[in-house]
Amino acid sequence: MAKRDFTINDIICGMRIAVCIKQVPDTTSVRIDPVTNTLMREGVVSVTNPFDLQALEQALVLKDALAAEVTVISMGPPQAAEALRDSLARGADRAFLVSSRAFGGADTLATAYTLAQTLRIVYGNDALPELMLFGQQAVDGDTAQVGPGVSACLDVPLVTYVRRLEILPDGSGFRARTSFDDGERMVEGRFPVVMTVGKDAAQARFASLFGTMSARTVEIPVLDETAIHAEAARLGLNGSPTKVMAIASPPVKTRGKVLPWDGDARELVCSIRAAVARKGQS
Amino acid sequence: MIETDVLIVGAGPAGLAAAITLRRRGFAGRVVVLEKSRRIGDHVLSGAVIDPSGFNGLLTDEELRGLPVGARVSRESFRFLLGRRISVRIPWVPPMMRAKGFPVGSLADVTRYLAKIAERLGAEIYTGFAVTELVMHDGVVVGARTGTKGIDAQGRHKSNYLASEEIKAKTTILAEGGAGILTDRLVADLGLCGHRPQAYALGIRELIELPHPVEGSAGTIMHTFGYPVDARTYGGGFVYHVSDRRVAVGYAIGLDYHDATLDPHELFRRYKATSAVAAHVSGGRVVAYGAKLIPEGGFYAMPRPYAPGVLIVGDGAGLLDGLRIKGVHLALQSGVAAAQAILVGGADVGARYQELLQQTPGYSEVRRVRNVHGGFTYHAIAGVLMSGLAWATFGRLPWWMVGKNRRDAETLRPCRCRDSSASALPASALSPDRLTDVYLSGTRHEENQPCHLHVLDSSLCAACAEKYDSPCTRFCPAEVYRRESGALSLDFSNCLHCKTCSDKCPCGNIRWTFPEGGDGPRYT
Amino acid sequence: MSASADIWVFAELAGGKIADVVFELLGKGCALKADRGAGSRLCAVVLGCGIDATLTDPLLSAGADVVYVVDDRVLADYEPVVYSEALTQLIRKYGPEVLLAGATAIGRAFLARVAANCGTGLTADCTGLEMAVSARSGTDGRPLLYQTRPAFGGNILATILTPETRPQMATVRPGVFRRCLVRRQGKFAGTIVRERLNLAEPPTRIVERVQRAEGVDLGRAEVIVAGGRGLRCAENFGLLQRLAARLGGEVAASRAAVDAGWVPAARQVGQTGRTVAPRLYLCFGISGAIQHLEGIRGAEHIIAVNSDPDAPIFNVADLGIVGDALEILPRLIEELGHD
Repeated sequence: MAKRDFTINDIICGMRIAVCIKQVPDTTSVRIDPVTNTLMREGVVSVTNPFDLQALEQALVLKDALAAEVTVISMGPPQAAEALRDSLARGADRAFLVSSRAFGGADTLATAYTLAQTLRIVYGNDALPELMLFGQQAVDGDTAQVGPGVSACLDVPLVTYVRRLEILPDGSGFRARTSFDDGERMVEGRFPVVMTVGKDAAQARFASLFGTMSARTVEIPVLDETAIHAEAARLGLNGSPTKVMAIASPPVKTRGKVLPWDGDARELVCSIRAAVARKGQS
Repeated sequence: MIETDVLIVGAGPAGLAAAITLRRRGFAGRVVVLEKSRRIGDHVLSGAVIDPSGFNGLLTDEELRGLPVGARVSRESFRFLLGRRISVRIPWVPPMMRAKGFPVGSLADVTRYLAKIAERLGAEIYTGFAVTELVMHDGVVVGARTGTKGIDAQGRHKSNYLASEEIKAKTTILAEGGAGILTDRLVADLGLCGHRPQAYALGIRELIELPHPVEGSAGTIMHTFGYPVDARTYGGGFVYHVSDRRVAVGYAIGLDYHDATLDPHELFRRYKATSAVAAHVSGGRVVAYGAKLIPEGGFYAMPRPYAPGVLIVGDGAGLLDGLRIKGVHLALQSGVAAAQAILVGGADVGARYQELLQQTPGYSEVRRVRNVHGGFTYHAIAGVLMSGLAWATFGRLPWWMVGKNRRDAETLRPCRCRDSSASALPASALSPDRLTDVYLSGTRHEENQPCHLHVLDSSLCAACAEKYDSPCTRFCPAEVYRRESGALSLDFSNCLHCKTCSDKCPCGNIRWTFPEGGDGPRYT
Repeated sequence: MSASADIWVFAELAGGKIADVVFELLGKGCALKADRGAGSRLCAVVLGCGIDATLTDPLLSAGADVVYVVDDRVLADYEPVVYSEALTQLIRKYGPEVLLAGATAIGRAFLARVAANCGTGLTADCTGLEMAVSARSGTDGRPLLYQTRPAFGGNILATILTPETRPQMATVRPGVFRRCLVRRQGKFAGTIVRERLNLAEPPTRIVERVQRAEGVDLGRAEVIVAGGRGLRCAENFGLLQRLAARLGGEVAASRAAVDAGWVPAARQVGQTGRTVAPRLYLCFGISGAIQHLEGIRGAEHIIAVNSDPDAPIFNVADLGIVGDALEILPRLIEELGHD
């Protein structure tokens, strides 16, 4: 059994953890057409964002240790309920699907607002959960903005790129190991707090057959814009300051020059130096 | 404690047909289907042209109308290939081979459709769970166990180790497909084997996308025999236009072949390069690839399809029309029969299942062509003639050709000439090399897990290299086995779960076991 | 909020100095300022404690017209809440048109909070920025910032606009833009504006710093030198190491080399290894099976050496050399050593 990173002297009761997850296309099952070098559309399935699974795993570790209550929330189309059910199968206690046409086209700001409102409604404005966990980024959008956006909307502290999470012995706060460009930092603070969890934080546990069967029949409430008391102007496309103007495929690689080796390294060296020295566009 | 009334192992056509029938006809108990692939249909592969009689008594008219197939057979032809460029069209399609009006499409899609119906009717289907063991008590199958997850390559528990789970079932239906591990073990342990050991053909299939849609081509099908196999090897191919733009091309080769240097994938590539096939696919490129075993020992190789507490349906029961090489409709009918037997209830569910199975129209066909394969073991022409004779006489002739009793693994002859470096065809968009084909199968495995292919005694591999030139490096359609400077190395993550290696290794030295649930090909 | 046409660049500090990416952004910022026109100025923003001329001078000489400085004890260490509060207050006071920051761990995180505070749009990890007039520019016809970024694991490129809200914010990956030229020597024409803000204590604090954890990060490498089966043995990877050292790059390998035990798995590139997007991917003895190619689709420039003229790697290489890697490697190391 791998070592779990926490030390608890006193029992902490009633700790509440919210985990926000997103259903994304499985980028590992995306294949390239060997002939055209472009994306093949077949067989791409939807999975829970891998970073979100890391966040869920952190929550479940704490649930195992402290009997914390873990709630999973997802904003998405009705199909996202599958990801929520999968989280329940892995051990989460309850789940909410936030879904409505009004949320369609939301960018990270509108999404952050919607999730923040949901957290307020699910827990009560003055009773935000101790921990609100997000995956560091979604593998389709790759922005890493929603977690920080929610922390701003709720006006709650933020810790990003968490690799390990401990609860302080007296239960008053946390100690988190976070990852930065130049190394890692141990950060301490109090609750409530929003955290974004990075990859390699932990091996996400599997859903057992028993867990999957139990989760199958759980009723997952669906919350729409009225249920979360959201202002229409801040939702969906209307509430999204960024607009996607165009989507293109990256340039496809094609065959370049192929030369036989004749003992003369100059052309090769020139090309190498040119490629290394080039610093992109200006 | 997980308990169910009926446990169905395998969510293929046979298993789902049983689930649908049980629920539709008012079965009051719990029906659980466990499937090892990540998603329904991922491990389902066929051409396919489906004999629609399989849906009789299974689907409603409305459900039939919604079947996700691209076309119905509109034009069919038979060709005998004499060589790469020359082929002869058989002017008359034998009546039993005619498929006009049959649905043509992806069996994986049809399976997903069946799964939706089963779930709607209340069956519980769980994917990503490999059932690795049957639980027996006093000679009765009382349930099964799922495989573990989260074991690293050294066999140690990872932090997310998931233990095997037991599920108790009053009746278990094995719907594992051809060469199923549990089925083979059960048949061996309880002596359920047929008159002769099961024999298999390796079916290789690609989906080819044409540069532009060819209007009206959907529904055109062609079956061929002859080149590229020699007269002593059982093989035949097909070309099915599943839509105006996509063509399924496949080749099946009997694994009772003798030539140790034979490379089925290479044969398949040569097949595609023939003028007869090229006419259908020129300019196209391959978008999907897969390989599977087809049980073709025929009637006499069928095991007794039941034991106390367990029923065997589909390919696992050896149900294949050996003349038409069609098994989907038989799988569906067997699933329905199994469900019917359970619905009647009582103590002798197994025997009742066998009775009901024998009454299905499909079964009589299998019986009718029971001596077909035997003819082919001698010579292709003899095989063709005998097939016709067998069919015409309702199987009474040729009674002397029951077929040899040898296993596929025993038929290889030692290599006389070491021509294994015979030039492979150059790779191209229409003819990818094996590794690219593996990529197009979508197969993925958890990298950090023990190798699921067990080489029982590696000291035998050196002798095999001498005698047979390591045929596993050729007969595996997924390039799992490679010989590097004398030693055999395995790339298990390429595996397509076809189990050709288990079947054909001349030393019986390879045992296929279950990798982590959810792993394997992702067929479309 | 007052509005200006200014282009702001957040001057992140790294190891007590201005981070390299800031100079790249200032370089780009100059061009954006010119395109924006209408009296637009290039401004840098520095947050910290004890900010003196050693930090502000380089920014001025790099072309900043204004350097805003918030020098406060609570800003001594990066902390997302207090940093975003400081930057938000500055934005509310001055209303810049555009705000750029490096897409570093710090930049991406707290800028997202700033964007949410200001109710504006932020585009992360941009690989392209242009100022141009758009149909969405509105009646005053101001140019907007076109932001291009990869998404879906790098498989698509999206172009994004923030037409209505301000500032238009973007983070940019280090190495995307050219570092600006040092324009002014001696007297600097720009001004320094020191702001006094009302900032609360940071809610979280750093209790320990740990050096960068062991391990190679191929995903960030700008230059990668990779080897495959054609290198024939583990020792020959030593040649790759030396070449990589000369070029300031990382060593990587194909699956075959890792399976053979010549290189640790962390260096594997491909479908079951890492996906990389270096400026230069230089590979030796790699055939280019599709499983490997999947991992290098994002490489800007691919140079391949392989003895097999039919090796599929040549189908995607900008330059291919057909020859024996073991002969060519030592020659290259020698030639590149003459620097």
